[in-house]
Amino acid sequence: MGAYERVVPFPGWTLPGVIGLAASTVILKSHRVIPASPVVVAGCGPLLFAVSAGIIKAGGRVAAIADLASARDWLGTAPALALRPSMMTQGLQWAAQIAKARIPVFFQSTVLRAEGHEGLEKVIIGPVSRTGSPKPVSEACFHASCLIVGHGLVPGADIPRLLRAHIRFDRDLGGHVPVLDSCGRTSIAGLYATGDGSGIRGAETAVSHGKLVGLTAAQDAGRPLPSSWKSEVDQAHKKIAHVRSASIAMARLMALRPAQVDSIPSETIVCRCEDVTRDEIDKAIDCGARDINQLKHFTRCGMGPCQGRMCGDVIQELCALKLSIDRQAVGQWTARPPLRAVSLSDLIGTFEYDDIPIPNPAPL
Amino acid sequence: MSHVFDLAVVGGGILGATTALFCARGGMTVVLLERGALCREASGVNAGTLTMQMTRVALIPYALKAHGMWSTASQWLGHDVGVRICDGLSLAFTKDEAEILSFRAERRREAGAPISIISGKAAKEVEPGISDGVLLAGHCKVDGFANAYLTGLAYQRALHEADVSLLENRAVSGIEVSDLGFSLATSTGTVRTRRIVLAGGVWIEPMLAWLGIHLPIKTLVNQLAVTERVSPVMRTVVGIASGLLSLKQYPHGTVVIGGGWQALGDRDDGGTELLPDRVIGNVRLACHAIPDLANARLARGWAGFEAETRDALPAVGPIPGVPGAFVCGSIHSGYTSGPYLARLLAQRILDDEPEMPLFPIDRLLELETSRGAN
Ligand SMILES: Cc1cc2nc3c(=O)[nH]c(=O)nc-3n(C[C@H](O)[C@H](O)[C@H](O)COP(=O)(O)OP(=O)(O)OC[C@H]3O[C@@H](n4cnc5c(N)ncnc54)[C@H](O)[C@@H]3O)c2cc1C
Repeated sequence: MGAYERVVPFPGWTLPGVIGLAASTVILKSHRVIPASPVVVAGCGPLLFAVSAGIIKAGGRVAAIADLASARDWLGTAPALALRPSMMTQGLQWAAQIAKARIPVFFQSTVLRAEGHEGLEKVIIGPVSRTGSPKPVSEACFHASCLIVGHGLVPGADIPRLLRAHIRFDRDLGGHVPVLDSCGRTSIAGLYATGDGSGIRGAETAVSHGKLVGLTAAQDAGRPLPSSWKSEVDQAHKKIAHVRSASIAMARLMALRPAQVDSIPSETIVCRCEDVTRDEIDKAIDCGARDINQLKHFTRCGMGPCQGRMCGDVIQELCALKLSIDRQAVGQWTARPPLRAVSLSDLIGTFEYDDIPIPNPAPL
Repeated sequence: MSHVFDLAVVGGGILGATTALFCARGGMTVVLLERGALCREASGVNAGTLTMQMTRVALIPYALKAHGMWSTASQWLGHDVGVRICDGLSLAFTKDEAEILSFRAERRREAGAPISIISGKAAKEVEPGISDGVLLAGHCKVDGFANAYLTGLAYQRALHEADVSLLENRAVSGIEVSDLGFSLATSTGTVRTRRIVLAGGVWIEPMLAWLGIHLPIKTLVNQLAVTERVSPVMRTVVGIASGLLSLKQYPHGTVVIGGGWQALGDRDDGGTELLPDRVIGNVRLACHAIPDLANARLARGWAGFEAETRDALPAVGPIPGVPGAFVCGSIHSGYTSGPYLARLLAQRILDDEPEMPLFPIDRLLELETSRGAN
């Protein structure tokens, strides 16, 4: 089911030229397109460095990197990464490439705002406190044609939500995830979940967990299994356990920081499909909106083409902060079909009027 | 704790909220208890069509009055529900539909709805967006729509201004009747009141059971769909002769596609499920009526619960044998007519003579007893 990218809004984030961090990896890797230089890369997590190194390698120019985490936060991940030498080596390679290109890296910093007329022109970066809220002490301005920004990933648990499986909120896993047993079974018989959609745990966990879930599903369905299945299951469990501390360390770096959300300025757009600002969200809560679906009715936030996939996590966090309740209590937007917008012409195909199964007329 | 309200309304849909509002304005102390958030069941998820051409004949006189209320909502409700008054068309594409249309329009006209039958060509002048295949159309100038999801916000403000004690997230689980009035058991304590109104939508059946009254309510599970914002494709409310289509485009550009196609759903656990064939059928009908709609994309489909009594007429009036207890529900196209019928009930509760007759449930209970005796 994959994941969605989270961008915690800041002034100017909807300008043309501002793109997602995870989205940029697709452009770089699949389409082999380099974003227009100079580029500022900002946000959190290992992708910051992967993407910056990727752009340099492809011949682009990175003007600056702004990382919410501190150098100390990164050092803190070293013990976990030490168990994963390949990840460690990869990280050091990126660091070397970035250092060689003399790209300024601002740790514990964030994009305060992006400015421009028709499109992005300038990115203003400033320091943040340990919890992620901007400190109004200094600013650095970079001219940029592209800002690549991302604040972690949110599990795409749409299908279990749509089918009303039990869901729980887990900040370290990226947000709302289906409740699973140790083999990936959801609360609904026959429905399993794995990969980022069941919690952000990285590619390696996803592979092992996927294998585990596949074997479990086959076993539950009474299908013949390879004679080695028990040892394969054991192995998968072991592998997940082995990478666990490293994947948790990375996930924590990318988890949503409440203080960052709390610092979104009031005139900043939060739901970009429907142009709903933070101020409108706050006012709706002042007016008595107490759950997330009521908030949606009051403001139209989450009613646009993305159906809240992009803004949901941040708006729910805003709601929790303002009401001083936990995220579980705020709830989630009701999931409804279709999972992605479908064109009506595709949906209807070709048909004869007489063949439409129109039900009997309503009573007169 | 020992506070006794003049009136407790159980269920915060359009009916409960309107009854509470007018009783409070009439001088009563009123508490409204709602299990979830105000107007988030049928009254918040419906299609918002305010049309005569889908209204039951017996309800036309009420719907006309209610339409007048909706068009002046800013005056009596005081807050915006996005009401747009516009022309309405009910289309016939086949001979059979033309026959149904003419018959139904005539009956509704007799009941007071100003519907005229016009040619397909004339209909196209009223609504340039419709397809060329229209044989005949019912045309009514008393039509329009509201933005149903704004109902909760508008009523919440109005109730607050009228000093109604609004208790959201407060489910009632039972009622005790005594000579002094009623005690309502809720998740966080007892609420005492002299009178009660049960306004639980499809849940009036379990509510009436608290008082030992058995009134079967059929649960309709109406399906709806909405497109993304698109440039204007239509400017009227469009339906078809059978009543199985309702279409309108909101000022912000989305088009809501409905008409009462049935989904699956369970009143007890609140879950609903759309059936793909029915969504496709409903959308085909919509695109057949407004061809340009095919260029839009479907953003969301959903379903909600609508109540229906055995004779498909409302349950609005005193509860027989329980002085001080009233029921208000099960009004076909109840978003349109609801505010007026609820206001009539409020008049009755305030001991005034209602302007028009209510729909007491005695007729339905007699039906039940005679069935039981058979
Ligand atoms: C999808 C759909 C589309 C529709 N389209 C239209 C249309 O276009 N035009 C039109 O005129 N009509 C339409 N209708 C009909 C209209 O929506 C309903 O007739 C009307 O909203 C019913 O209002 P109500 O107050 O009776 O019920 P509801 O709005 O369902 O309110 C009942 C309330 O009671 C509460 N409740 C239940 N149990 C308890 C308890 N134990 N304690 C406390 N509270 C409780 C519920 O939470 C609920 O909020 C549509 C209906 C649906 C479902």
